[in-house]
Amino acid sequence: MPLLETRGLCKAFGGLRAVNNVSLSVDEGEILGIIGPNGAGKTTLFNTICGVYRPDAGEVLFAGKPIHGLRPNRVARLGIGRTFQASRPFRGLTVEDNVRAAYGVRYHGGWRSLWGSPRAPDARQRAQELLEEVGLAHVAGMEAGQLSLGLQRRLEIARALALEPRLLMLDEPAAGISHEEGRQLMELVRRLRQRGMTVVLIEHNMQMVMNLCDRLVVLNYGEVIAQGKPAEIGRHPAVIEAYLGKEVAHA
Amino acid sequence: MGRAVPDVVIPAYYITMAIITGIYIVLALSLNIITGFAGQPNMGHAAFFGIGAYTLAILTTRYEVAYWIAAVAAAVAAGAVGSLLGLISLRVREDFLAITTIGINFVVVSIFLYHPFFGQAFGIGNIPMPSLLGRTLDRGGLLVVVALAVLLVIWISRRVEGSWFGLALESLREDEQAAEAVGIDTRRFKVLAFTLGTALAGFAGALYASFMSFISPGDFTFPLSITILCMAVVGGLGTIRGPVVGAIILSLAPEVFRFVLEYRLLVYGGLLVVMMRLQPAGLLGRGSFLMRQVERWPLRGRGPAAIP
Repeated sequence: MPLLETRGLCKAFGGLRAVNNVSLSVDEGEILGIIGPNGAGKTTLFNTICGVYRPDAGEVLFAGKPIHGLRPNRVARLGIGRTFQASRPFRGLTVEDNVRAAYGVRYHGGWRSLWGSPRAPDARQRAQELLEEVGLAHVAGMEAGQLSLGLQRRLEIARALALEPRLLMLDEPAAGISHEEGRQLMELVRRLRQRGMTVVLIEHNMQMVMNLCDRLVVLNYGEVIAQGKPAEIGRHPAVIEAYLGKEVAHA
Repeated sequence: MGRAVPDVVIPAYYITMAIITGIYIVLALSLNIITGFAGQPNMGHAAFFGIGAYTLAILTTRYEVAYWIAAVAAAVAAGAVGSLLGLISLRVREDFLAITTIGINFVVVSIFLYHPFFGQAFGIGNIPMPSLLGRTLDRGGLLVVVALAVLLVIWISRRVEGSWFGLALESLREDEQAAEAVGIDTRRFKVLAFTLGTALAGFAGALYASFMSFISPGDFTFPLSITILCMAVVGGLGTIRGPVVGAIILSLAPEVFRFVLEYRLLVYGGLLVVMMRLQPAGLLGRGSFLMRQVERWPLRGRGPAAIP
């Protein structure tokens, strides 16, 4: 059974079919890359899976159970952590509090535990571990809004990890950051996978996609036009056409 | 031959000022839970203050309900209406929510003004003072009760600030969608923030009704909402010291500057604009000029912490 599966997923905005009949699956422990030109519907697909949008048609199954129609916080608590394309840390909070805010979700269930302290030793320690994992321990006390974009991206990953998710969905984690920061990010994702994390990755940085992903899904105009191993995808005529235009494909 | 020791008499004027200031502190702190911690605009806080005051007034004068039961009912009634506003806030956001809260203020005042049950423009009089240990309190006693209420609300605010609940409110203030993405049920926490904040305003209303012994719709109009908001903003939204100090400054300032009383709203409006421009975090907010001075003081000589 795949960890995540979409069946015939559709989402339209007015007349624009942003996601059109997308069926894909992600196996446990796999890194799946989703690529495609700008406006292909990658982020909309993410948002539809995560519950930000309700699909017009189709299903999303996580660990075999339907999750479409659930609100994003429920999807997150079921075990899907995500990051955003335009980095979205809690800017006014410290780096440590960013991570603790997500870690604290486990205390939200009971009225009594809700009044417990995020500064309790166990919460501090767990936040510290997560920050060390992504290499942010040295800026734990800083306001998140003051971090560089590269560090914000890593903070978002740490925040998602605080949920202890089974699946991590990263929306263009390398966009707008330096080469070196991108390399470190790649190392991080690799380390997470070694520990058994399943990752879905939207990315334009082809070097990163080719190095990191086990399998790729190519979207164009909201539809899946190809999927397969990275090496095969690079030669796929529909993909070349989508990226470079028709004439080149025929050349 | 020793002289007779005179009774220490605090002039009535000071007691009055202290009670009013205390009630404003409770109001500013209760608004701070909604607007400061959870980041939800509320420009109709006076409505909930009024609902509390009317609930207490009606229960004690017409139904002879015991004072403290009526005071709890005042908090519950205001909190109940506040939770409805919380539900509205799930659909309407930011500027539109601000306008909706203004509307609620006008609607509530209109109901007090036009429905016979609420005494219309005549208001409700003969509201009793609270009693404690079988004794009906005088104004000095009420001051003690108000002071206890201030301590209670400061304690509640501190509990909120230092809990998972408070951290959830702050994260939804910072970024609602990101908060959802990490599993925070933003709807639930918004409604909780509105309920708690408005219930405390209702309790303040109960104390106010006793203090005045007579209330009318004009006591709870939109300008009061702006005054409360001004107090929290000037002091520093999202902190606890800020609304307390803001409430003290703005409730005592009109006494000092009596000559501007007529233009008070104009002054408050101007003050809001100036604060937004120069000290958006408030006088005592994080990173404000004053707080920077305070933080620097014990560390003078050391440079700012190196930022990697």
